[in-house]
This record gives sequence, C-alpha cells and structure tokens, in this order.
Amino acid sequence: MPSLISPAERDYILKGVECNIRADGRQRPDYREVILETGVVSQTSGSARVRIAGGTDVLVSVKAEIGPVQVDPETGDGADKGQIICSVECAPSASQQFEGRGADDLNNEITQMMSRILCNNTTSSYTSTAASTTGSSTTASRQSSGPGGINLQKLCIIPGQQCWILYIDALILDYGGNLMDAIFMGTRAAIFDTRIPKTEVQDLGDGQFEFEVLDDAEDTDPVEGREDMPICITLNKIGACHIVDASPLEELCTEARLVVAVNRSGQLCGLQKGQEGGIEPSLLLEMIQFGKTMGQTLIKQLDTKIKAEADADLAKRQRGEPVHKLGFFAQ
Amino acid sequence: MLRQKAFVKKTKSGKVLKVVKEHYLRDDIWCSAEACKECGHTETVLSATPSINKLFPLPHYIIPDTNIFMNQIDVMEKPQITNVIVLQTVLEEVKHLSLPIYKRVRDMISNKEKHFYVFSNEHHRETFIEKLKDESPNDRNDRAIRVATKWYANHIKDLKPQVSVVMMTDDAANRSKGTADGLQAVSVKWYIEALDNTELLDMISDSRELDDGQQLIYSEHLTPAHLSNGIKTGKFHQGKLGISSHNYLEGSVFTKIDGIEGTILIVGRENLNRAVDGDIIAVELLPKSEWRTTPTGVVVDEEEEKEEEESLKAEQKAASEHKEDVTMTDATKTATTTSALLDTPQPCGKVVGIIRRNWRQYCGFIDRKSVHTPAGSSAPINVLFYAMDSKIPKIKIRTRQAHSLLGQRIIVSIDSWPKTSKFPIGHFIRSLGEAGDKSTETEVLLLEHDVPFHEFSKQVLSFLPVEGENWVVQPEHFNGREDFRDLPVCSIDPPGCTDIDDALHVVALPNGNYQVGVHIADVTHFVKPGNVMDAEAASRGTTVYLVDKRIDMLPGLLGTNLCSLRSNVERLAFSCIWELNQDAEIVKVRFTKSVIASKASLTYEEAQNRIDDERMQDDITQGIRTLNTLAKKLKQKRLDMGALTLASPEVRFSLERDTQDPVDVEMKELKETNALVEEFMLLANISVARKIFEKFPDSAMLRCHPTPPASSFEKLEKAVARMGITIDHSTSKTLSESLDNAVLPEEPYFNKLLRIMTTRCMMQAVYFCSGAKIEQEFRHYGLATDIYTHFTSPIRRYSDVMVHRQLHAAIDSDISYGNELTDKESMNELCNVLNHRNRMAQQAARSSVELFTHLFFKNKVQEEEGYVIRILKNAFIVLVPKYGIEGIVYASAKAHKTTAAVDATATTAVATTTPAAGQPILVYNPETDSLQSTEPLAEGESPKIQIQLFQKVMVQISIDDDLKGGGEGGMRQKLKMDLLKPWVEGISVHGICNKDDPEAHAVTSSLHAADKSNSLKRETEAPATPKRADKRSKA
Repeated sequence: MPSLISPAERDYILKGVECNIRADGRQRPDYREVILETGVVSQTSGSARVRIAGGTDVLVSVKAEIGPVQVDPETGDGADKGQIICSVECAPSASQQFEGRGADDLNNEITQMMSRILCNNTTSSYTSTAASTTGSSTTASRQSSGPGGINLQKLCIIPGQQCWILYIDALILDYGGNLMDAIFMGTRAAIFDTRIPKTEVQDLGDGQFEFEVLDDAEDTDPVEGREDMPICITLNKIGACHIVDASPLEELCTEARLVVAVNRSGQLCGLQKGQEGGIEPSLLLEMIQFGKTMGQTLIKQLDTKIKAEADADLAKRQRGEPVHKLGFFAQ
Repeated sequence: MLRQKAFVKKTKSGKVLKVVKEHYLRDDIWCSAEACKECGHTETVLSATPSINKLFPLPHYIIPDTNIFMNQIDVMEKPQITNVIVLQTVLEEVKHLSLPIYKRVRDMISNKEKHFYVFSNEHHRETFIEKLKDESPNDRNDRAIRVATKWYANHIKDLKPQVSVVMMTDDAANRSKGTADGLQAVSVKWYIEALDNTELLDMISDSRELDDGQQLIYSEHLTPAHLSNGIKTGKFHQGKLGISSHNYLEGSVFTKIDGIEGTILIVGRENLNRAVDGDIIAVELLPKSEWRTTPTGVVVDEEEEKEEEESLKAEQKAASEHKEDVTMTDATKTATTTSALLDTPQPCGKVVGIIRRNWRQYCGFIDRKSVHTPAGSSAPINVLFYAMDSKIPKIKIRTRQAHSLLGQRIIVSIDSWPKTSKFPIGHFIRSLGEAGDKSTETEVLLLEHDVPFHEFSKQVLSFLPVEGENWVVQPEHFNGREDFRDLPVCSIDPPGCTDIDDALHVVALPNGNYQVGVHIADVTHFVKPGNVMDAEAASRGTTVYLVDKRIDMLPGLLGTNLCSLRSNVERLAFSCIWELNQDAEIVKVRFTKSVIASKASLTYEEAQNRIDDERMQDDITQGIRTLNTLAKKLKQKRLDMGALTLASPEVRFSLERDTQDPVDVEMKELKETNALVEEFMLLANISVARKIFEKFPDSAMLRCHPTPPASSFEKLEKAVARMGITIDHSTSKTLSESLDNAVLPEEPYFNKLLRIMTTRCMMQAVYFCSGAKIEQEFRHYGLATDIYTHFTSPIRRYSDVMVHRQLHAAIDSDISYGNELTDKESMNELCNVLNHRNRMAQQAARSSVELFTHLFFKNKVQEEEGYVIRILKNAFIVLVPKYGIEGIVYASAKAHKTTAAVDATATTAVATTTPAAGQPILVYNPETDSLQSTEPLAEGESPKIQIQLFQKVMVQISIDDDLKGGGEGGMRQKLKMDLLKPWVEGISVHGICNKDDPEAHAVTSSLHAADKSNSLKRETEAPATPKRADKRSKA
C-alpha cells in the first residue's frame, strides 16, 4: 500500500480519469476481475475468499456460536434476536503499513461500517417507515429485518435466553485497493455458504427450556434473509468525475470517497463519506444513483456465480463424490 | 486420498463446535480370505472353507450389521457362528452404542477359532462412501455395509474353492435393497433356523416393539433432557436403585434430599416403573401424604402369582391386567392407612426415568407353573424365569425347550422392558446344569457374585519363575535382605491351610525388652507391577473361599508354594520388627525385606496345646507363650481404647472325603491362639499404615471403618430398651462398654445375639486412597485406631500387594517405582474395584455356606431354637444359632390351611376370626415394632400373641423340595422355617414328633394366664420353655 504519490503520477491519473481512461486501461465505471470461492475454511460455518485482480485478497469467515441474547436495557429490545458481530483485521503481511498497530484505524473503520450496515436491523430504521407506508404484508415481513437484511429473529433459539451469534471475521491478506467492496462481496458469499445447525427446543415446564443441537452437518438451515444483504460500492471522486474499484494509486488521488450500500431491490442501505474533499449536491445524487444501479447489477452477477458454485457442490455430494476446494492452492 | 468429515458438537459449557476430521483412504486393505491370492496379506483370518447350511449351500462369510451385534450378541458368540466379516462401520457403531458389547465383539475378534475379521471399509478406497444429501446417518451406514458386501462379493467370486458372502440384517428394507443389488441377504432368524439348532433359536433376542393397541402398564419414562434438567433443579433425585432382598417390589435410593443425605423408598410395581436393581434412576418424591413408615413386607401374594400365570396364558388379556391393577392399588391403600398413625414417615418416591441400566446376565430357573404345553412339545412358548437373585423381577422368555430346561439352572439376559409388558422380556443364553447339583450351584453362586473363576491363562502363568516347583532362595536374593534364617520363626494357621502368608517370632533382648517380628510372604518379589499376572490379580482382587473350594487370586505355584511360608524351607519375606517392652508398648519399629526359614507350621490347636503343655520347653513353645502374654496385653490396651468385640454366626462344615457332601455342621470356635495371631497382625497393619501414609500422604492405600450413623441403631435401641438395656453408640468405646454390660442372666445367648445384631448395624470397612479423605475420616471404628491398612495377607488380597509395594518404596529410597503408587486417581479406582470384589467375595462365601446348609438339611427335618432378629410387615426373620442360618417365617395364613382354621375358630380362644387366605394373622404394630394378634384389645391389655425382636422361638427347619427348580410360590428361598412355638393358629405347624402335642398349646394357654402380669417381663420371657411357663402360671 503506497502512502505517497508523486505530483507527476497524480497528474497522470487525474488527467486519465478526466479522459475516461485509467492507468490500467479501464474506463471510469469498470470493475476489475473478481475471483471468488466459497467454503474454503472447513472449520467455519461458512467462508469465502475474494480476490480482485491486482492484489486485494480478503478471506471472510462466518462462525455460528451459541450465546445469551443481548437485551437493550432501555428499550427492552433484542430479547428475541440473535446477534452479528463483525471484525476486520489486516494481516501485517498485506502491507508494511499494517505492521504493529498500523492497521488499527483501517480495521476500526471497516468494522464499524460493517456493523452499522449488517447488524443494524432495528425496525425503527428507515426501511420500516418504507414498509409502513406501503402497508403490504409481504414487504413488511421481509423488510422487518432492516437494512442488514439478515433476519435476526430467526437466529434466536430460546427467546430471552439463548441465540446464535454470527461472528463475521474478515482477514485482509493482501491489499490492492477497494477493500470495502471486496469485504462486502466476501461477506455476502460467506453468509450464503453458512449453514447453521438445527436446534430442537424442548419445553421442560416451569418456564425451563433446554435445546439440543442436531449433530448432523447436513441437517442445517441457511441464514434467513441473506438475499437481502446489501453490498457496497465505493465511488472515488477524482477531479470532477468519479470512478469505481480504485487501485491503490487512484485511492491516493481521491478527493472524496462515497461508500454506497445497496441491496438487491436497489434500496439504499447505507452511505458513508470519506476523505477531506467535498461533493457537490448534484454530483452526490448522481453518484448515489450510479452506486445503486451498479450495486444491483453486481449483486445479480455475484448471486449467479455463488449459486452456480453451490449447485455444483450439491450435485457432487448427491452423487457421493468428494467436493474439493481450491482454497489457498488457487492461483 | 484425503477426505473430510465434519460434524457439529455441543460442548458441556454450551458451546457449539464444528469438528472437521481428515479421513485418509488407502488401497492396501486386504480381504483376508485364505484362498485369495490377489491381496497382499500374509496371515489370513477367514478360512478358505467356511461353513454351509440349508439356506446357503455355498460356503460363505457372514457380514452382519450393527443391530445384529447389539441385539444378538449371545447368538454371535456361539461356536457355530464363524467366519464373520466385521465391518469397521459396524464396529464403530457398536462401540458408540454400547461399550460392554463392543468388548465382547473385540473378544470374539481376538479369538482365533471364531475367524472374525475386521474389514476397515471406511478407509478402503473402493468401499468408502460419502454421505449423500438428505441421507440419515443410519441409511448411510446401511449403504456402506451394502457397498462393502458388494465389494466382497465381487472380490471373492472367482476364488477356488468357491465362497460367497451373506449380509445378515434384521432390517427388511435393508435386505430388499441388498437383494436388489444382487447380494445375498438374510435375517438372523432364517439363518439360525437353517442351522437346525433349537438352543440357538432360543437365544435369538426378540426386541421388536409390541403393538400399540395394548394397555399400558407403566407410565412413560421421561426424556434424558427432561431428567437432567429435573435433577439440576432438584425436582428429581438421582441414585442407584437397591431392591430389598425380601421384596422385589420394594426398593430404595440413597441420595440427597434438599441437601441432606437420605433414603427414598420406592414401593410397588407402578412406582418402580421398570427399574431393576442396580440401575441408576431418577426419582420424583411423592407428596408427603403418601409417605410411609411401615417396614418391609414380604411378597407372598399367591393371588398375584395366579394372575400372572393367567395373564401369561391368555397373552395379556386386558381384563386380568385390570384386576391386577386393582389388587395392587388396594395393597397400597392399606399400607397408607396404617402409616397414618405414625409420626416420622419415610420419604417415598416414584421412578420417572432411567439414567443408566445395569442389566447383566442372570442365573435362575424356569417357573414350572408357567409351562403349559404338554411334555415333549417343541413349539416356542413364553415362560417365566425366576432369577436366583431375589431382587430381580421375573423375566419373560420365549423358548422351544421349556421342558428340558425345567429343573435346570439357566442363564438369561434381559432384552427390553416395554411399557406394555408387566415383566421384562429376555432370552435364554445357556444352561448350567441340574438344579441342586453341587457343582452347578457353585457355578451359579460364582456367576451371581461376579467372581472371576476361570483358569489362569497361559500368559499369566508365563510370569511365574521358570524354575517352577524347584525354585529356591539363591545367594543373589540376599541383596537388600536381612538374613533371619536363624530366628525361631513359626506360623500359626487354621488346619489345612496351604497359603501361609504370615509367621511370627519373638526373642528376648538383653535389656529386658522383646524383639517381636511379623514376617509376611514377599509376594511382590514375584508379582511385578504392570505385568499380566499383576493385572489378573488386581482384577480378581481377593481369593474367594467357598466351603469346598478356593478361587485363588494368584496362581497356585505362588500362593501355596513359593510364597507360602512353610516350615523348614527358606522363603522370602517382608518383615516388620518391633522392640516391645514388658507392657507391650512399642519402643522401636522397623521394616525390612528378609529371608526366613520357618521352624514350625502349627495349627491354632497345636499352638494352644503347646502353650498348655508344661512339659514343652523348647524355643518355639517358649516364644509362643511370650507372644501370648504380649498379645493379651495388646488386646487389653486395644479394648481400653474402645475396640469392639463383635460376633457373627460362623459355621464350619465337616465334609465327606469323597463326595464333599456335608456331614456335620458346627459353630466355628475361637481359641486363644487365634487372638494371638490377630493381635500381632493388627499391630503390623497399624505400624505399616503409619509408615506408608508418611511416605505417600496422597496415595497410600488405607482401610477405614466409618462410624455408623445413629439411624442404624434406632430399631435395636428400641428393642433392647424394653429389657432395660441401653446402647450408647456415640463412640466405639461407649458402645463396647454397653455391649459388655448387656447381659441377661436367664439368657446366656443374648449377649452374643446382641453383638451379632450390632455387627449388622455397622458400616462396611472399605479401602480408600489417603488423598481422597480428610485425616479425621481415616478412623477405623471397630478397631478403635486412627489409621489402618492391610499388609499381612498378600497371597489372598491384592490390597496387601499394593501396600507391600508402597512400604518397600517407603523404606528403600533406591528402588524406582512407577506412578501406580503415587497416582491418586488410579489408586482411588483400584480401591473401588477391591471394595467391590471384597464385598462380592464375602457374599459368595456366605452363599456357599448357605448352599451347603441346604445340602445338609436335604431330607432332614430339624427342630431348633431360634431368635427373632428382624420384624417385617408380614413376616419375621429367625436366626438359628446352632447352624448360623436365618429364615423367614410368614405371618400370613397359608391358603391351604384355611379350612383347618375354620374348624378351630369355634372353640379355641387363639384364633377368633377366620383367617382367609393371604390375610395376615399377625399384624405389625409400629409402636412396639412387633407383630401381634388381631383380637380387639381392652385398655391396657396386651395382645395375646406378640412376636418381638430377640424373642426365642422354636422352629422346624426343612428343605422345601417343591421350590427346587422353580416350583410354586414367589419365594426363591429353599430353606423352609416353620414356627413351632409359640403356637399361632394358621401359621404354626405341628412338629414331626409331637403332632397334637399338648405342650404346644400349654405355652399359649399359660401365656393367657400371665396376661395381666407385668407385660415387660412377659415379653422377655414369653418364649421360655414350657416348664418355666408352667411354673409361673402356678404362681
């Protein structure tokens, strides 16, 4: 990860963006090639590795554990909900600047972003207002899970007592720009890969419950609401234009950065602005609109690929063949 | 090739783990068929020409599935079943489901004659299968078995001579799938039927569930999760069920109730809810209103028996079951009403679930009455089986050979106990032989007490010294040993003793003190820790002494020869040497390994004669006299400390030389010399205990005797209080004193009797590991010493072997020892094993005495004096001191006596009401803990007949031949005791020699005359001889 850029390089990139031709030959709205594989870490409940040609390499794993429910002392909310806990860590091997505590700020920033978008599904958020205005029961039930998409109620095992906690851990193995998008794609893929063991709750009377975890690795549930999980599109404003999927050098030239979180129905699930520069209102609207369209397309393509892989694995298993993952042998 | 297996697991702390295992596949797993040249195996297990039968004319190997092993293990163990391929899938499932069965399968596999081969199909490249999606683990395993069978079928199809494989499964779906794959599949039943062997057919266990339409007899057990939660919250209580030996419908569980240790009674078939003695169960307390205090009753309800029979005949007609229910609830009702009178009812409970079954194989016999088919018929019928262990309920078995099994002792195991069946359902395993036959009965009692009595294996014997009989002490043995060959050592033992493990000597020292030595056979020189012989001895735990034989802990060569301290041969010993002063106080003590040469092996009697014979003045005799004086001083000191002198009625049989039949019974007599040896052994044990505790504070093997809880003395105290005697059991010293003072001049046997009964109130002495208890609990109550162990009999007790090793380590810092001497955990475990073995050995010895008593009384009818030692609800137990036997006398009228009793009512004052069959004539009175007649009583009047503790009665002893081999009645005891005096109409019988003896009536009539006299006096003297009673009535 370079931290400095020479004026000549900056000028070259700036001019190029203006002419809609970037240093690696892409146009402004072009993404680099994304390589994705799910199920790479067998000990997890679900995992995915996302690489963007040019360097960025992110491993996301989901681990389902059982823990007590977290009840908000003020609102009393959360007694019937599971939890999602995110954590991002940059491997020191990814960049010299990540050594020691060098990556702390970056880790925090991304972790917060993820938590804000994925873990926030309180009905008081903006989607619930959308649901109440439409009044349709189908949308209400779907949207009750909030911008994060995942239905936290379904993760609850015994209301008021125990729930599943999904630990989403992202490990950045290599840095090649556009971390945020890669992490969100990886998270979506990992959640799609996640299987939560089925539980059987027994009522023992006197308000006492006990549950058994079915030990069969096959007898599992997918994470409900995973289709509605958002992904992020990071738009970098360079000069008067904005680009997607910036390379490390382009990131250094960025005046302002806008992260747009969007779900498959094109709903805006989150916005975050970074860097010092400002964005004019008209450009902001344009950027958001662009992000939404871009995101929707990306989700569609991503889902096709994930589904294709899952189907292929399933077919193999039904034939009784072993499923081999490339994992870290992949080139 | 590498595969992965993943599964989810919930840990104890509630975490969920996903476990991923790597699984490697190989291509070098061979088929092990003898004729196969393709595989690279060197030694084959499966023979080239396996057996054939009617169903499969081609020689074949059998591939059974998991359930075959789980349900039909007894059949599989039969020698007829050979050449079996045990798939790894099956073996792993069996291991997971039941470790005991897994062990038995493993034993079969290691048995060369069975030709059982384990095929690691899960690691074989061609037979490993991945679990399919939506396939249950069971289906997957079934498929794995089919795939492996198919592989075998293809693999061996071209072998010469020709062989095939047969898949054996009782699962019809699996069979049809197999046949569809072109495999040969068969159920156990078809296969065994094709073998034409009725014995094997009987052994097929039938565990299929019965129809749902049947009436439920028992309530459902709760689920494990329910139980564990209930136990956690304190709603249920967990414990091991102990069934009363007098009543198989009454059990108790020792557990904690609200933090206080206590016993929960469980009474009645419904409340026991299919629990069998020894099961770990969960109990729910009944409401306090249903608690009761009545003592145990004896079940001799013949009505009930009859109904059982009918229900069997009609194969569970709902009507009879219903009737049964009514009688059962009636019984409970009467019981609750009587208990209403009492102040402190005992907690009662019901079984809500079974945490762990403790089913084993049971010895017993078939109930003759349950066999309904004509003799010679070989159609399968259901019959009832009585276990010899009276705590076990009757077991329903299905057999084709009922008639040939009648009168035999057989072994049966329980398969299941469905809630629709009144009795557990089991199957026949094997026959032991004719009932009543000495060797059969001895085998039964060894089996019932879990005594390992097989011959020592070759492997064990291989650890004996190579010299065998000719082993002698060599010069190198003197390394680290003291030479005591010149000391005047002698041994004193019971006559005929061949395993002499202790010897003594005494030498006067110049300073006026004495050097006293106790020399113990140095068994650990021969038995090295960890070898097979040591392991065998550890698992046997103790030598078991039966009346006519001995089951050795160590091979005979060691026990009766190389270790035995016989006279005039040099032997290795472990010696404990004291310097004692004139008052027998220890001045010095030291321990050493040594070599001794005993000068004389004496019997107790010979030693006693030497002491008494003043003409004998040799070294040995002088020594014994000195030892005797010292022993007396030691004993006095011990008694002053509060050691107890207890008693138990022990008898000795004189056996006929050839037949080993008992010809005479006598009480064991104790001579002064017994006490002599005992005193020095105690001294040695105590000294050794201190030494090893000092060296191994955490892991010393010690023995303690806990202080008995006050509750166990309650009844006895109450009973003796009537005679003006008090028992103070607060310390062993006060108890000892009160026992010494409890003498009734007119009843010389009373003191002995009281000591016998006190013994029964005691806790059992147990081995323990010093790290497992606090030092205050080390106390040996009976011996009144603060620390104790067993050191003096290493030939016959394994605990002593351990103590020898620890003592050796304590005195010689040079020797190296493994952690078997220091590991607290393993020492604790060993203590538990030894305690169990000891208990079993004692019981086996007792049963053996009982067996010989029965043989002795065969064809004899004897009249003897006895004493009432326990009162039950509808019976009392009588001890006959002359033979040391106990028997139950029932207080209910017998059915066939009814008519006789009716005649008697009109005239005699004895029986005022007509006792109906089964109705108690004597009723339990909880206030006085006695049985009394039921006539209406005026104020202050005492009942006419009372049976109380300590009462002297006359009984007639005979052997009830009807019961042998399963005659009538629910009782399993064969020794019959009938009451002669006092005369109770409906219960008592006429003596053989004095039918219509006026004396018998004289007792009762004289009692009436004495009615108004002091009741206390009367109670104690009521059973006195007629002469004395006559005297009193005159006065």
